[in-house]
Amino acid sequence: MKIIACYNIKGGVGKTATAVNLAYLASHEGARTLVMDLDPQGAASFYFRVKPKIKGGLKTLMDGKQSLDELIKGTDYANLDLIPADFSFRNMDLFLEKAKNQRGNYENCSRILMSTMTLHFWIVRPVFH
Amino acid sequence: MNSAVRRMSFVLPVDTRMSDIKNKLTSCMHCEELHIHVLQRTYFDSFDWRIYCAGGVIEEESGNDGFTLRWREFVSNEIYGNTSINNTVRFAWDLPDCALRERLEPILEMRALLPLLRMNCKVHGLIVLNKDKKTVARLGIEENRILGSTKFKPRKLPAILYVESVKGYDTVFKEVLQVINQQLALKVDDQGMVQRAMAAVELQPGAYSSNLNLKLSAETPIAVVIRNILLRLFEIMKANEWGIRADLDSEFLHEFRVAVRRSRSALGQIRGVLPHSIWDQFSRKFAWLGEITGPTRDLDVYLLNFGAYKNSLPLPVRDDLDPLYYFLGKHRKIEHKKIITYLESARYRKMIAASLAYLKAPLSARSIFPNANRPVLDVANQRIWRMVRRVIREGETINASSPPEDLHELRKSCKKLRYLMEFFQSLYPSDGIKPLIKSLKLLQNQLGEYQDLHVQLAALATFSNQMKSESGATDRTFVAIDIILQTLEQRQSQVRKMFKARFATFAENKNRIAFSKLFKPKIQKEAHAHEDHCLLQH
Repeated sequence: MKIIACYNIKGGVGKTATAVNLAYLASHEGARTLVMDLDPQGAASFYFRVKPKIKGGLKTLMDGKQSLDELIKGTDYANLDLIPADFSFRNMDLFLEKAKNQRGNYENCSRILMSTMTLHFWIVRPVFH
Repeated sequence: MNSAVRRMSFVLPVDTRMSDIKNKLTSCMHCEELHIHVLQRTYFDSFDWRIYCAGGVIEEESGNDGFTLRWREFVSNEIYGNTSINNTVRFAWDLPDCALRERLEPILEMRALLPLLRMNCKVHGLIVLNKDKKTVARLGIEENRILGSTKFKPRKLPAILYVESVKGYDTVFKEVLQVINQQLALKVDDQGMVQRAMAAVELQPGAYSSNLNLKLSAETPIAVVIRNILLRLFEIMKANEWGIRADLDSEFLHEFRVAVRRSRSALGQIRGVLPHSIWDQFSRKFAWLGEITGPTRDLDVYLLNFGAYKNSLPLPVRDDLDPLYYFLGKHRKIEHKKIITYLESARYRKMIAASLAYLKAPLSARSIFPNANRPVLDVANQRIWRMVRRVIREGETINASSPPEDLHELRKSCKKLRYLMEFFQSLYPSDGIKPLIKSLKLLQNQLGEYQDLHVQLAALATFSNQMKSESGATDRTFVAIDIILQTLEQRQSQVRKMFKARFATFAENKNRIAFSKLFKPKIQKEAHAHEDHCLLQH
């Protein structure tokens, strides 16, 4: 799997805009594409006019009980789907730190999605320690 | 909850005006017209309907965005593997590396995609929006018109209205369906647009098969059955002729040759049914057909294997083999031209006409030939049982020092047995005969590979000599051919070593008992019960 990072520590330089537009171009070329908006600011979700809200919030996303597939929202564009942001994602770093084994669940879920999607775009918030 | 995209289609009455439908939809829900696209769609399958048998059809769409190729499911109408293409795609290997190619390659193998029908489509795209003006469901109206061809006239199909859900908005999808149901009262499309189009032009999916598919009844005289077998095989030959002429793919010629071989086998195995002079004429005709088509088929096999030859070479020398490809291609072209000349010759046309005339003529009520009136089941049992015993006998005498010719003889006997079992398959319970055919097939594959390697080794050495005198191939090409010869020799010796185990699996007691139960003639069963120990070794 190839990972392409749109990376800059400065805010407002267009990281999210780049990722969202790359995702659109990929879907336009026929790739089944998923944008995972893991940034609690929810900018990518706003791009697609999807409410940045997940029922059950971060816990639902991370505990692996509910399939990630059920959280997906279709966008205005064919082949381009989104898992919207949620305000609770602001605690993601603390959540992962507290329950390191939860990360395993997260990876399991994304593996399930890999089988149906060709491309993933993850929009995350930088965390500094 | 399953958030997959759901789709539902409805058939619009013939006299419906598109503007009326759109007005009704926009008045009932927050709906916007997105686009009107005019597209051309062409549907493809292989000559033997491989895609249809796998549940789909290949759809090529051309519009403002260029050409795309995809797989469309017949029943659900779902599409898969949308792929942009720049060149004509005839074979699976013409596609770039993509999901569509991955799905297509094992199904299509070496067969070409042939156009079934072309359609002009006008697609009216509409979207249902929520209060944030976000798309929450998609609607489409498709007006399809089949374009005329040499086979059929142009015609208009009823328009289709479809609704597609957007992931995460299932409630809206249900609401839209409810509106359509209440306001438009349309009939659900349970046929699918492609099937409807095919039915409109009387295109029967799955119409061609190289299987004999004969439904025999046990008491029918063998003279009638052999005529039916030969007629069906002539039908297969005729069906493949145009593909050979047009050189669409190598399978047309292959299936033609298999039908010729089966016919020869039928004549050889079922004797005393046709007048000797007729039998002799048929035998000579089939021998001639085998002879004139052989060289092209041999070259086809080397060309189909060329990728494997190349991949077996170390990476830096792979391209050195290319002159062999051009050499094979050049000679194939010459041989193919010869086939066309033969197929267009008066000799060929007269031969086919005379054969069909004889086979279609009514049989005289009382035949003077010794076996002509025997019930087919008796003949089938006798012939198959005899051939089973021959295969077992020949296989058991083969040991590590046996010459390759012995394996070749066994291979020929296996082929004869297989053809007999296929001719008379419908006389036996399918759960009895099918596993035995499968088991025989596995043995045949192994023997076939050994024999093919044997022939390839000899042929490649001959090609190498021919290339020395004909073309300006460099020493590097001959070195590459030598490496391939060594690889083939190694493989041949591996396959040879595997023979014993493969034959033992075929000849295991379970199979011997099954063969005996199914085919051993009853009279023989009673009279020669003591001979069983020859075949059944416990």
